[in-house]
Amino acid sequence: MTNSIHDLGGVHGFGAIPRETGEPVFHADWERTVFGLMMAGMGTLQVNIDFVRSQMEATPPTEYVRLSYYELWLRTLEKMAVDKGAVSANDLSALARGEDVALDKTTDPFPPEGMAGFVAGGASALRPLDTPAKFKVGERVRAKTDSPATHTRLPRYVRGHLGEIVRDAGGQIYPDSNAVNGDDQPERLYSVRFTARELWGEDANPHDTVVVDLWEPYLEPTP
Amino acid sequence: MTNSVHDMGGMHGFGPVPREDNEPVFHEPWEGRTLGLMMTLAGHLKGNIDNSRSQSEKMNPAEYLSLPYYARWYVRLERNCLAKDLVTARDLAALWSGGDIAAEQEARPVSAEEFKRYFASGRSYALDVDTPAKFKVGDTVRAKNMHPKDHTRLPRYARGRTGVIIAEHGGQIYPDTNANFAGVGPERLYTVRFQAAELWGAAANPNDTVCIDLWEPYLEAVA
Repeated sequence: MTNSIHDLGGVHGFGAIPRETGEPVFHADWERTVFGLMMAGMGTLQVNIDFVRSQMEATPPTEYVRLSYYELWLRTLEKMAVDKGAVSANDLSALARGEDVALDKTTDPFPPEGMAGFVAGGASALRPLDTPAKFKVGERVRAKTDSPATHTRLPRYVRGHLGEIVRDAGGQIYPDSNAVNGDDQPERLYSVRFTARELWGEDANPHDTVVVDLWEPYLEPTP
Repeated sequence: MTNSVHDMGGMHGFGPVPREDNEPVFHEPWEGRTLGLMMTLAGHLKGNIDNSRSQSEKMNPAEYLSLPYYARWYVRLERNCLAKDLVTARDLAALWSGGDIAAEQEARPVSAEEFKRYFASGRSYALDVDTPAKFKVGDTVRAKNMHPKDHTRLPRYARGRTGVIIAEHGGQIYPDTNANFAGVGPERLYTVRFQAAELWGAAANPNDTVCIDLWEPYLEAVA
């Protein structure tokens, strides 16, 4: 959901972000397990990253702010698995209680070697695009004020604000459609620089800027 | 805090707002008692409504979202009573576990009759303001893009947006300063009407509007 609790840019009240020296990739072993489960589960459940994000964003806000990052992943994975019929809610509860459940094991397990290769290789969101760019580097644009009920990567705090295109990153999967129907038709992605004063008013530091990667449909020309 | 989790206008994901037929004033007796406690102790705590609101807004977001309306009032009240030494943490804990404490009873309790009169009389926030109005009914104005760290009644979703003044209410206590005990103002209060499309983008219903009461310092003239 577009304007849900996950859109925390510019929101006060969450306290300082702790910085750890030598921060580990995972703070507990279960986090590593959840990471692996999600990567394998996305393949099994045939869901893409944008759909997964849209599902996370639909978590009830009270729960969303209480869960840690990987707890949110696990909750979302469980929800998708139940929604897609890969496991029943009853069986999940039974498993959580440590009971034995006769699961359907007809799907081939994802081997650890495959996972290592998958994570190292990544998955590019770049797609060829043959339509000409609507904007060019250096141009002033305005982020649209749209508030769609479905997934978007246009944060609330930049909507309606003026920025400058600083990079054309070419055609990329468009999250707004990909999240809804797996349509990976690309749209052009730009990096847009906004001054902090444009975003936060005249009290903001005049030297600060925020650069946000925004897809072409999010932008309109300035008059 | 200005941009905290309380500023829910325009947010998705909280589900429908239930409408009850014959909704009672209080859903539980403890809610009525909380209101009574709050009003009775207001004099002892030397607070004001804007400061109370500011305190609720500074609650940890996870706590804020998990508490029902009057529970937030109660939590705030306990904390204020502790901060002003009206009660000790030990006595509070003892009371919660059903124990008896030797509380000071210097203050005269407020009678139910006094309380009823207090409610019936209401309370006006109108104050004379002798500076001329900066805007008049029919003027187009823009809500400032301001993000103060302290209390404000200018919601995020209206900031930077253009609307029309449709009413002027004279001088009223200015919440932004009153919340910090930095003066009651007053500042002139206006009702400003915004088109839904101005707030939510082109997909919004062209017949919908949102009217918001905004104080003069929140507004700027449109060039």
